[in-house]
Amino acid sequence: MHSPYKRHIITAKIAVETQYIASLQRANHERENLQPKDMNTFEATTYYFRQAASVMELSERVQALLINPDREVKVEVSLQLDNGELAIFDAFRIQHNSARGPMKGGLRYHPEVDADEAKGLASLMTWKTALVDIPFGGAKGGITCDPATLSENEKERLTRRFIQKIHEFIGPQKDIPAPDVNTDAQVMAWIMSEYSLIHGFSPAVVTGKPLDLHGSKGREEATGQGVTYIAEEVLKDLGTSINNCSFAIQGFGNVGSYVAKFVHEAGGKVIAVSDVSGGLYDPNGLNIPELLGFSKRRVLLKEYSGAKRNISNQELLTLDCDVLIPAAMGGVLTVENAAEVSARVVIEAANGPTTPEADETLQRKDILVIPDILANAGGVIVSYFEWVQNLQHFTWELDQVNSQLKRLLTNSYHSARRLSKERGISLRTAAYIIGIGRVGRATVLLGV
Amino acid sequence: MQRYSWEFKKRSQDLAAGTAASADTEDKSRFSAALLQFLPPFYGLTPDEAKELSNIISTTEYAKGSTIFDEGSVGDSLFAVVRGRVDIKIKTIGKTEDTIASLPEGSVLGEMALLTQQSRSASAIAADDVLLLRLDVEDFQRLLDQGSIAAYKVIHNLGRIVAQRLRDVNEQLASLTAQPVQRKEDISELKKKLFNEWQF
Repeated sequence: MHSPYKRHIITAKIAVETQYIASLQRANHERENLQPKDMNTFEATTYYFRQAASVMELSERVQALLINPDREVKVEVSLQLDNGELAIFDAFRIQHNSARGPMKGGLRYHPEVDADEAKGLASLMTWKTALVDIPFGGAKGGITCDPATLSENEKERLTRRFIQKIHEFIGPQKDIPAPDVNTDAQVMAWIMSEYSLIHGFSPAVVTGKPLDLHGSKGREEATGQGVTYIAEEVLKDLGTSINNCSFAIQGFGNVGSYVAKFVHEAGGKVIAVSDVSGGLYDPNGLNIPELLGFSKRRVLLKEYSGAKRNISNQELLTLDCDVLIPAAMGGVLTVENAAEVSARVVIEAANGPTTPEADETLQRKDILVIPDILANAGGVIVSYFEWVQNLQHFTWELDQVNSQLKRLLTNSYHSARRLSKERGISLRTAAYIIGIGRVGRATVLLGV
Repeated sequence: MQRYSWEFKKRSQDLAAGTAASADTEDKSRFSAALLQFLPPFYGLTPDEAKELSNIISTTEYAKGSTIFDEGSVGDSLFAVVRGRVDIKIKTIGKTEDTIASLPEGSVLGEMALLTQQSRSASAIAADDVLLLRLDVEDFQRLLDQGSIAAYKVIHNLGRIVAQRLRDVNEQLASLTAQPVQRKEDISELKKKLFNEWQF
């Protein structure tokens, strides 16, 4: 055009426009923040973080310091499939914050594993480990793959190739993965094996390992056990106890089935449970030992005929009961059904079962919500114990695991409860503030 | 920057008519001289100086769709649009060409060629059948060498145009690199907040 400058001006103009659009999106986002909508786990985590940070009056700069991940590792994992075909998978590890110690978080295998969502989940791990006061930071990672289409052999080689690519970023004193969506004790065993081939015997590089390979007693049932300990404390605070209350539990997998088991053992009346096939309801209490046999044999609950009535997963959430425990999916309590919840207490055993808008509705209805960051922290706490045992080369008995688990969870609950009462804020905001505050303190002490 | 007016239009019509008649070079140069006062690089010329320059200015016509100059070619002349429109296109990634401007009558293009004969930063394509004024660098350089006041006035004008563009770019760059205003974070204040105000 007139001059060489013109092109620069045009480039600059495009950049200005991009910036403008980004600022519009930011403004939009902020508007949405004022009126919480039903969001995914990542958005919800960010929302709760911002909420707590604004109560603490942290500046934008400090918020940025705390919310941005320390490091994002992205690798490509190539693999020769059983049929000789070449496959390439994207894999990553988000290492959110290590101010309080080595980073800790799940590793998931899923076709829709998304780095953005993992960032939110990694930060959730940071606040969670800080809240329950174990010396860890937060991380999350995954391989974008569909494990249903992979043979056991392919899964093993994929796991090992992944570890070969990221071994220098993980380690007992750096970042310790754990089971997550579609990863189990076997996958953890492969990780330990591959990492140990490179770095020498290192069981502490990963937790959630099989009991026969340096796993911890009580790890499998840890989240369910923790939920039950929390329920015990909460109900004590409300002047009652588990054996005086009725429970509705959504989800009958690794978390839900153990919650049902422990609540039942403590004398509680479990009036409803559910899995993907639907739910069972009996106002006089279900026969939990019989149902546990079903879940052990991996038989769906709809095959069970001993219940009074079959209900849907939706119906379960609005049943008349004392304690509602969503222990399956995120985002099940939404603006549509929150108004109809008739439980006195909601204990979030799943990650992010309550959307921020539903959360407000529940607060208005004076329903006590025990936030996920506290309620389901049992899993990561016993992971910590597993790591400690591996470092000690010493195994703990189950009662030691459980008594320490109970101590940490009870302390965390009471800290959050106290702060929530003192400041007139929700238990969730209080829990986030404790988490954020502890990470902030460590960051400042380390030197910024 | 363009002082495009009905007057320019009128004079460009005169010139176009004169070109069509294509008889009297004297007439043609008179018409071009009259047009120059509307073009930024030629602001402030006396009638004599305009006439001096118009002697080295030729008129040239391009059929719709033909290329006036190519991106990357050596810039060796200045053009002014007398009639029709000229599209300015750049090659962009993913697309072969992108029209970034469409210049109307009264626009000047390629004037930087008078200062530096660097390669063209964009292509110019005739969007209609166009009539252009054309000033070749070689001729202009000869005037400069002869110490022509007119030529130095043109250089002065170009200097001003360049300076203005530089200012524009600087402003845009400044707006690009500017950070949103953030509250300063005093570490001691943060410590007080974390260790004293929030007990847990």
